[in-house]
Amino acid sequence: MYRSQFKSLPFSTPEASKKRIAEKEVKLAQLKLQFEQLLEQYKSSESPETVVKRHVTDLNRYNGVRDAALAMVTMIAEQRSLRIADVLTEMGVEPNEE
Amino acid sequence: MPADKSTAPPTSQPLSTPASARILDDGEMMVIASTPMKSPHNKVLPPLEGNLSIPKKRRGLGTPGSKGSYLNTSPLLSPDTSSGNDQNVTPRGSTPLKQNRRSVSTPIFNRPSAGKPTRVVSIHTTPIPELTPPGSNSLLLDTDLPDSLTSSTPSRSFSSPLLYKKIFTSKDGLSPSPSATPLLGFEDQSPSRRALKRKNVNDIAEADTSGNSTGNDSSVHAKLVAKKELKDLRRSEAFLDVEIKKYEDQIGLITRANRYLASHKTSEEPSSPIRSVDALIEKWRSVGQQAASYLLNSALVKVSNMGGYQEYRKRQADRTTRQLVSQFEDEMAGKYEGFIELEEYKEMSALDKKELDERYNEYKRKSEVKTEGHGKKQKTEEEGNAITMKQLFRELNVEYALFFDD
Repeated sequence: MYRSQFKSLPFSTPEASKKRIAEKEVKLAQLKLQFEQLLEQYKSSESPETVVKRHVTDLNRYNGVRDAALAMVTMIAEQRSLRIADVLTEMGVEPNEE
Repeated sequence: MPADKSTAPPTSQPLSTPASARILDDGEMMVIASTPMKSPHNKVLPPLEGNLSIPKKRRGLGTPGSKGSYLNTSPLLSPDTSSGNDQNVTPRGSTPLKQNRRSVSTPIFNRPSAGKPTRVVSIHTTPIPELTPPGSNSLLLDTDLPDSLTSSTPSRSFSSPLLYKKIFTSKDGLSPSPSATPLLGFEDQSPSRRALKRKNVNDIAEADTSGNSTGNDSSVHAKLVAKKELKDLRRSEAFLDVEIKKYEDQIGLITRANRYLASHKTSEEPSSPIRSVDALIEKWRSVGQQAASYLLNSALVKVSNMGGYQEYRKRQADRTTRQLVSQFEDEMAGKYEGFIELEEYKEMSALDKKELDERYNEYKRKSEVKTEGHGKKQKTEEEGNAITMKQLFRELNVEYALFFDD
């Protein structure tokens, strides 16, 4: 089935190539327009790459802090023979909250 | 029985086999040969006339002139082939005999003395025959093919069997036309010319676009131009693909950055339920600080119950020393004690035993020094009267900087 589909594609025809090129040129023009609009909306002194990298770094730090804090909370819960949710509630944190 | 003196050679002697002899009445002795001996009748071969020419025998061939003989079935060796007499010619398309499988284009049969099979001249001295005529000529020959087919006599122009087969196995089967095999003219050419054609495909295509092509090569040149055009189209399409991918990546990056900035801006508002990553970090940092404080208090209570901080440090040092000693005993002392009980150790010379003992004592002394150094290092690090938060985090194997600023 795959072969028949593959064979049906007009790869080697110049007309088909011209048609695909025309479609891709239209798509590229649309992408360029969208890119310009997004650049107009982007209002930050930092570059988009910097913003994305900082966000990823913050996410890694958040994961580390949360894991360590939960480990200590677990130790406390074991010492006091309580549930982790109870310990977190005592600390003023909603257990289901992120 | 009298002996034949005229036929018997005078020097004929009995063979080495035993023979009986008796004396005849006239006083002559007669030798009776009871065992094989040379024939008394001397057969003389007829005199040789002319040159001695023995035709070379071929396997499976009959005698020249008989039915199935190769010389009779070969159309090229038949003396009346040129006159169009087909009686002795086997059609090529018919089922050939085993003897007819040799190619008719072998140079031996093209020689004038084809009737006399002679020794083939060395291939190094034989000139290479022009197997295929130029492309245009071969195509012109194709127009006469129907006659050749009906007469069942293969045309002698098709000296190459491959070309012969290619032409005769065209799609319509009977009338191969130049359009059926447009590149036939190219295949007819020599390899060097083909290589040149392949090398200069672009030059030919450009020449064709400028109108320098001849009539025979127009279809080939049109194909080359189409191929070049297709190649250019594919190149431009690949360039467009790269550009599209580049713009899609940039758009995705800006979109993500805009989303992060917007969420950060929204989380700064007090009424917003969405929290930024910074806010979440602060929340869990405070949880960690509270938990660490609780654990520190409980540790201080334990230490005070133990007898004070000094007592706690002493116990910690003893525990570390015990661990190091047990590690040494597990590693080296166990091996040493096990080895000295073996026969191999007993068979060692006194010098070797002394060297081994020295090495073991040296390793033991180094491990003791290491243990003492570790204890001193611990003392310098844990100076003070109470356990600190840093010591607690070190014991818990948690990074202190995650929750507290240095």
